[in-house]
Amino acid sequence: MENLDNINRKDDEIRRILQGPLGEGDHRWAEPGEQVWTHIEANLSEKKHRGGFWWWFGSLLSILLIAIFLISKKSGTRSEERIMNGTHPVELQAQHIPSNSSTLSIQGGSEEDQIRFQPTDDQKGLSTTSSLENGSGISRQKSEKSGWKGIENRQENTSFQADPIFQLPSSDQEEPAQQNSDRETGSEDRADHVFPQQGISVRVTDQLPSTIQMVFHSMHPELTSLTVLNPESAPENKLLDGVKNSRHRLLIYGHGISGDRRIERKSNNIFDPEFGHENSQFRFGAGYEWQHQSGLFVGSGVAYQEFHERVEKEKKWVYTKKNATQVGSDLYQQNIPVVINSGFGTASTTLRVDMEESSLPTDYQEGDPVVFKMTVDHSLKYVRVPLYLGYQYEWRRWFGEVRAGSGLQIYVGSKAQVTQVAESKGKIRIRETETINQLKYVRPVVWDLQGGLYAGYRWSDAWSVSCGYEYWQSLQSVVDRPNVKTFTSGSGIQLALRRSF
Amino acid sequence: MIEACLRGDRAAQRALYERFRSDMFRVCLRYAANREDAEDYLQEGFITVFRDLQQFRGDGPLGGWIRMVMVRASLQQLRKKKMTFVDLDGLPAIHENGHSSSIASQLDAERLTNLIQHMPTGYRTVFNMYVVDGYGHEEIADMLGISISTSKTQLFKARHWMQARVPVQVSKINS
Repeated sequence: MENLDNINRKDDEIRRILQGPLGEGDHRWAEPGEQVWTHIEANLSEKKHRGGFWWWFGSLLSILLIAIFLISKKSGTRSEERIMNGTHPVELQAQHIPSNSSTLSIQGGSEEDQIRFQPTDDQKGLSTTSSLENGSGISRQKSEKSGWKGIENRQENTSFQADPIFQLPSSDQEEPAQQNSDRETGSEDRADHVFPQQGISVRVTDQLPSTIQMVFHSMHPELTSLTVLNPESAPENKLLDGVKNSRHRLLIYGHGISGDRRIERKSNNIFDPEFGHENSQFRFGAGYEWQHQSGLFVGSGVAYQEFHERVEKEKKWVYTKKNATQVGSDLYQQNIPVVINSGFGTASTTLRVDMEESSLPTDYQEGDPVVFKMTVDHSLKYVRVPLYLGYQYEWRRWFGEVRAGSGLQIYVGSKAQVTQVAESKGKIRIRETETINQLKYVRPVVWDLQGGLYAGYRWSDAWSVSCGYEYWQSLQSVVDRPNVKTFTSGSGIQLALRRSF
Repeated sequence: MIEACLRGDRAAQRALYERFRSDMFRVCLRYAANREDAEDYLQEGFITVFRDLQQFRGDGPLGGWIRMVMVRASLQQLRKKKMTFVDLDGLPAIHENGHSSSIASQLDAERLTNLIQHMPTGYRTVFNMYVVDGYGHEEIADMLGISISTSKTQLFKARHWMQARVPVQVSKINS
């Protein structure tokens, strides 16, 4: 057994050799490759870029969420359908008045008229106010003298008087306090319907008896009739069936399957050719669309996108001891570089072939061919912000769409996994799958073009699903290596769940 | 230079890297099984250095702090590869004959580093930490998540492993 002093002395010697300055001679063994600094620099640049990106992305997402929230809130409090069918829209609003009377008021510019009618039982809860824009052709005088006589109400299971009382208050007549209050705050907004001819809307409170239906007839040629339905019991969109309206839409979607890449080289690939490549891509995201009544719509949103490529390569060489290094009495090592120069980067590894001198046929002998396979899986991750225009055609509950636009792919990360597969005799030390977390020369922002055809089904006013084929192609090279540019594209099925407001 | 590095000055960072890359690569080579792994350790180590440089308080040499970061980065990389501590059977009996005390005169840093790289991972790690980098068994046990006795056993076996192979290397050089 060695004594402690001897052990310590040897430890000191080893420490001095390994930590002390290198003596004379070739010290290239102690110099790391140039690519180390390149990788460090790329990593430092990526961290800088990531910070800016996440700030930017967070802001964008926040704005989107706030917009969605505001739209949802507005749509939730106002269940309204509008028809802009006339050149001079007139709006009638119904509201509940907790007294024993109902009021129909007509506003003309800054002045307003009121029409009151008296229910004969407790079926209260309807009052209407209307606003007539100046120049609508319905003058206050006209209404007072002749235009509004003959208004009647018709009811089912309730008994409104057939002869409502019309009152046209003078300008100094006070309005009911409740009405004033509601007009100021807008809190009465619950539902409205609109005259097809004039764009008149009537809002009905939910206190209206569920079976009430009233039809107002006007002698005025531009204001012929008005039907008021309780929105909670009325047949859905009976009044508005078949009429297109502008609408807001939110959607979540997934898209993917096929991908491809195109490589433009300005110089020849000096490395062994690869066996082939397999590409795929997918994305999922959320979006917002606003559709005009004409069917045209515009959309945007945010999506996460990944693009994958797998490349397999076969490396062949001949084993000779002349090229190997003897590292033991009967042990030889040979280092074989393998390079895959794919569209997204150059992945390289060095195989260390350990060989013991042996005559066994299972071992490599002088002059034996060695065949080795290796795969590289590249993946590039992006956040994509699309902006597109489209047209939607509706037929009953079905709809078809065509879309075209552009997208901004914002790079968030990449990965390359180098996997050593095998060589024929299993004599190469198979290393674990190596992961490179940063590809070089990746362009941080890439524009793309997109287009697609979609079809969908609307099972309720709010909810619908769609399925379509979509294609996109990058306008810029996603990886911009010296003398090598790689463009990506993708196509496949897009499935979306939509919510309209 | 440190302040410039903290500001993210790429030229200063490059200068710092150039100043220490060779020394630190030798550290990484000792902990790695091969040159490629050592370059990975060096890369991760310098990324950590530039990220955590503000933690350097200046109460010691910068090289010592960077060396400590490199060792920790190397250990972290080794952990990712599931470092195993093994007991190799059949170690040849070592008889102290006095020749091993003159290692320094017969093996240079390159050959000694190469020899260490061929050690089993557990031996190599504990040997490097204890013999070369001067950590105690308690620190090693804490940093590697092993018991103190395992650390001592691994060191003992590492010494035997070395002593069995040094004469082979020396004879190769002499022949």
